[in-house]
Amino acid sequence: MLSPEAWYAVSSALSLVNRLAGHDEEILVSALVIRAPKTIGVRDLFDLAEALLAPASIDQGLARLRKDELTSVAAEDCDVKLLAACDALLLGDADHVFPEVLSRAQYWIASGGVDSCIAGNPPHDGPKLATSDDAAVALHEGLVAITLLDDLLTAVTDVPARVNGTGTLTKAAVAHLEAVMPRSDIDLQTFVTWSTLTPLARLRHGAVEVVDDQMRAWTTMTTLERWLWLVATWRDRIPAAGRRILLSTAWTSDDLEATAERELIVSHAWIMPSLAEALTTGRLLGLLRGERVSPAAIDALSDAGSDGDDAALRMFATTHAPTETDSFIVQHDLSIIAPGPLSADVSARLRGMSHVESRGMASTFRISADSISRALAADNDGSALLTFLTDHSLTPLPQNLVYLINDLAAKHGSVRVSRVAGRTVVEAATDQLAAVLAVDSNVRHLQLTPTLERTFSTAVEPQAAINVLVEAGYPAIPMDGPVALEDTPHETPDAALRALVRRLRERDEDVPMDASWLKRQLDLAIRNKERVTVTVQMPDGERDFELEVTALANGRLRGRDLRGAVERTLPLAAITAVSPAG
Amino acid sequence: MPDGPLIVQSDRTVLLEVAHPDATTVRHELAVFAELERAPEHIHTYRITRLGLWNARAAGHTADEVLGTLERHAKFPVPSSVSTDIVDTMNRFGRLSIERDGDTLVLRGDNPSILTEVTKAAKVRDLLVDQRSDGSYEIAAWARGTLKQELVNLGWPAEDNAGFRPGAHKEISLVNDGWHLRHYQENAVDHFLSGGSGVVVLPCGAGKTLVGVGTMAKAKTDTLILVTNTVSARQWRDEILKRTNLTAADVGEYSGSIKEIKAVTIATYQILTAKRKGEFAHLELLDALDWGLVIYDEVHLLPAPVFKLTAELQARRRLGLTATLIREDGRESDVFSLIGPKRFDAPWKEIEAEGFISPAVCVEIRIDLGSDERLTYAASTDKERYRLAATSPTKLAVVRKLIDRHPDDRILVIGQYLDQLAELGDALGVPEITGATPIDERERLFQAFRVGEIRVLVVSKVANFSIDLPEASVAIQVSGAFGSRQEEAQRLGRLLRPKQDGRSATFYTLVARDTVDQDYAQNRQRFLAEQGYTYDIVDASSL
Repeated sequence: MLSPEAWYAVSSALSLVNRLAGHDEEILVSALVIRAPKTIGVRDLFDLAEALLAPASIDQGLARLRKDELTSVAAEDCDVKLLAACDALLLGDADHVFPEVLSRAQYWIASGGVDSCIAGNPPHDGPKLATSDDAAVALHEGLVAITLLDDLLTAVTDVPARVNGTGTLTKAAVAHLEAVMPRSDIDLQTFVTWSTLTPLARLRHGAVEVVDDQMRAWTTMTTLERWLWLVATWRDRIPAAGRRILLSTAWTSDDLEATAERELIVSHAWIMPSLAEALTTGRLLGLLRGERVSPAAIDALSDAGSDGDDAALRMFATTHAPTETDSFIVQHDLSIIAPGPLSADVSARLRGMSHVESRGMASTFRISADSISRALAADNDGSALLTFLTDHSLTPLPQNLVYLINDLAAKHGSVRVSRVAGRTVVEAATDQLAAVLAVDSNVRHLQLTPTLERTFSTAVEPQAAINVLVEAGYPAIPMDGPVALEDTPHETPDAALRALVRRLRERDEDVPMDASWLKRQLDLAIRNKERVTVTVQMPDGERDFELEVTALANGRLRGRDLRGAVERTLPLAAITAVSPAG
Repeated sequence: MPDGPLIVQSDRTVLLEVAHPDATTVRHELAVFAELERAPEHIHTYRITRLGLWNARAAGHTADEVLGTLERHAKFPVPSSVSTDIVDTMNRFGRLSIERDGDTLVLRGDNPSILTEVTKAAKVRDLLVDQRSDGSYEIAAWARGTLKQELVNLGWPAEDNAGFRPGAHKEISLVNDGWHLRHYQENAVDHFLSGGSGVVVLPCGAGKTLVGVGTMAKAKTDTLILVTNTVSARQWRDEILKRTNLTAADVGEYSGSIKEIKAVTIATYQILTAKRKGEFAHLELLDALDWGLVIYDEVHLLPAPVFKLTAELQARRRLGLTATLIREDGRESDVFSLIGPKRFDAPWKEIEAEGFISPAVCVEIRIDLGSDERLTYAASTDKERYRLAATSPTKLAVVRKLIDRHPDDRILVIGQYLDQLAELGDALGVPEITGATPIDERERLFQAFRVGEIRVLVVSKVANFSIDLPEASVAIQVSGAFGSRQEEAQRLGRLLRPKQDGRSATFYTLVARDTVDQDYAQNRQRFLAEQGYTYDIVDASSL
């Protein structure tokens, strides 16, 4: 006989398998990340369901419930909202929690923690709020941080930042970022980590890279819109229980941990990283000043904020944010200074033609021959650059700047590189330039071979050839203009679990659910040495056999017939049902 | 938040809007603790550095005063990280002090843990003799300067309260017959003397020598003056004799050719660092008299061995003079710890606006290499390229044109490469001065240039520093020491003495287009561009 517990398990597992097969993939993967089932040896959805019903995995799910919710689950007194929460955590379905879950909840209640915690709860004082002035200062710093994040994302767009196994930037990546990022007191690692916590960047193949479609949307936003969007992202990454904790206590590590410990009976360890992240990112966003919390953070975490209504947050931001400018001052030392917060689009345009030297409430840029060449290579022409600078500059453009741009624009593209019949072709605009190219010691390793007039071929790839030529001071560009960025598919850090779910779902698509279910019950009966009643479709109709099953192989079930005391072998395809014997 | 002229950035830079009505006031307040990094035409950039904050602390200013200045004049809130850093940094100064106890120097600390931290460092431990019962440490007699250096490196700069040897008294006074120190020179002298030791930064031509002379007149003590070369030594001597009551009997020259030790002795860095059998051969000069004041001219050029010797001169007042506190070797912190903090500086353009230095126009002239030159250049190694570009024969014709354009000016043609200078001298038919030119001959030629007997001089880097040629109004730079910013500034400095007829100076730089010459020129020009000088770029073909 299958014991009641075993049939619970089979019943719960079947229900779970249905959820696993039918749930939205995003929700499912999110739940699996929380439940952290053991996935070693999982071959099908039934294995996965069983892993989710293991006590350790159930506890991971129960840890997400506050003490009042846990008490309701243990008392089988769940309202619709709580059932929905349990369903999302794969702890039950829309009508009930699984018996195994109930059992674990009752175990935690019986362990005595809840009553003592509830009795011993000190009153919550709530977060310590920053003054309006301090909140405004914090917002200003948050807006600066967003500009720096934008600089970082631009740098990573050009060259993904390599990280080692622990997520730490490699020395080469640090050197690259330090070279292209503005001078600042920022901790690069903190900003890189922050970027991966937003939808704008991700860690893939050992490097931090931008997510192109998200970046496209980002570039159209104003700085204030970026801030609002990132605050929403920040909020969405905090679990509901975490938001409640943040709204109920001071934002210090000790207070948050003490509150989490009181709120989350089964375990609070899981939420501490989220709370720590909320503090770190919140500080970057200017939602904290010292240990004082900006009213903006409260607005974001409140129900209104969570429901997507950011009116209060927007009001706060627009009231306290400094006015953006789209003007700057151009000086003879080729520095450009925006003496206030610069609008995002002008900032991006300037960054495209200069080096960012300093970021703060003001931004400082420096133009050089390299930076103008870069801008020209990005499909600008000299007059467009001059027009942009003239339109936005509060001062007349210095003569040396105009000269520099015109000089470089006149030469731009006088060396063009293309790919023809498997060879890279380098073409010079003039005979003199071709003659110089032919003897230049700095491009010797391209091994340029003269072909046609003013034309050479090389075995080096076009982009590598362009890099060598530019490094040697030639205004080289690809023949067909700049290469467009290719979109890369979106991928999240939960890739392993996502891949597992897809693999299991594909595998089970080919097997009718009933057949899978039947096989699973028989496997369970064999493993538990249970006696079962097997219903078999015979030519003359269905017939029951009471068996102690011993093996299932090659599409056949073998077992000892308890009535006839004989060994029977039944074709699996003919079995229509299985149930506890007797 | 007031609409002030300052914007404080989180990277510790401070931007000052020059056109703001409060800019002048704020500039003076900022100068106390922030280093002026750039002073172009509209926005000046200052940087708050540890050394700058310690300078301020050494001068008696507090973190509250510094923060007060920033908050009072800032357009936007001061970033909290900057405020915190200012308080932390300034609180580190003076926690340790060097005191005199009889004949012994001791290192004291107001907190035992700081003393423990620094004395754990091997480099500091080696400079200390013994720990005393009160917790202080006895300092090795020779180690005062080195200890200060090491403590700065550890981030715990010591306040040096051990005082100075007054030096042997010498009655020195200024002879104000129709002249007097300018207000900024007076300020520089006063700031220096109130601080004890340190550096005065003034533009070339703004009268740094007179700051030295003014200091001598107030210190009234035997003085050792260290200068870059013999010609400069003689200019110092002439100036001292002209401006003070001292006579030739009081002023000695200690150089390669003459070894005089007098109450005021002017020595070259070169002689001080000359070695015989591996030992410095002229160290006795340092103890020859009881110097109460040591003046370091062009302190940005102080050679490494002189730093080492200076470490042993900590009991004497030390005055550093320079136009550019840029050290191409990055040893600014050694200047801070061994000579002393910056006591006074003034932006070039401000002095120019007051008429104390001549206005100058800077023009970069782009020349095109000839076809053959271009091919030779391209086929050369990186090492050969700068020389080829910088010494391009094409530059000669341009130099001629420029000289023709300035028939009434006295012109210096300045270069780096001796063969190029020789060719120019020959081709132009004008005398040249290089390191090989005997001192007397150099002085003769300079004097002939000053009085107008010679209109054009070709000069090598020997004329970069400390050569007083007030009538030079045009310089044509044909080549330089790669990308040296301070050399560019010094060369322009030759032109900045105010002209009697009020004419402005013109500084031409000839640059070979699309070569490393052009890249180096850009770097060379940075300091002056950041001081507000504009470089117009002109094609040689358009001259």
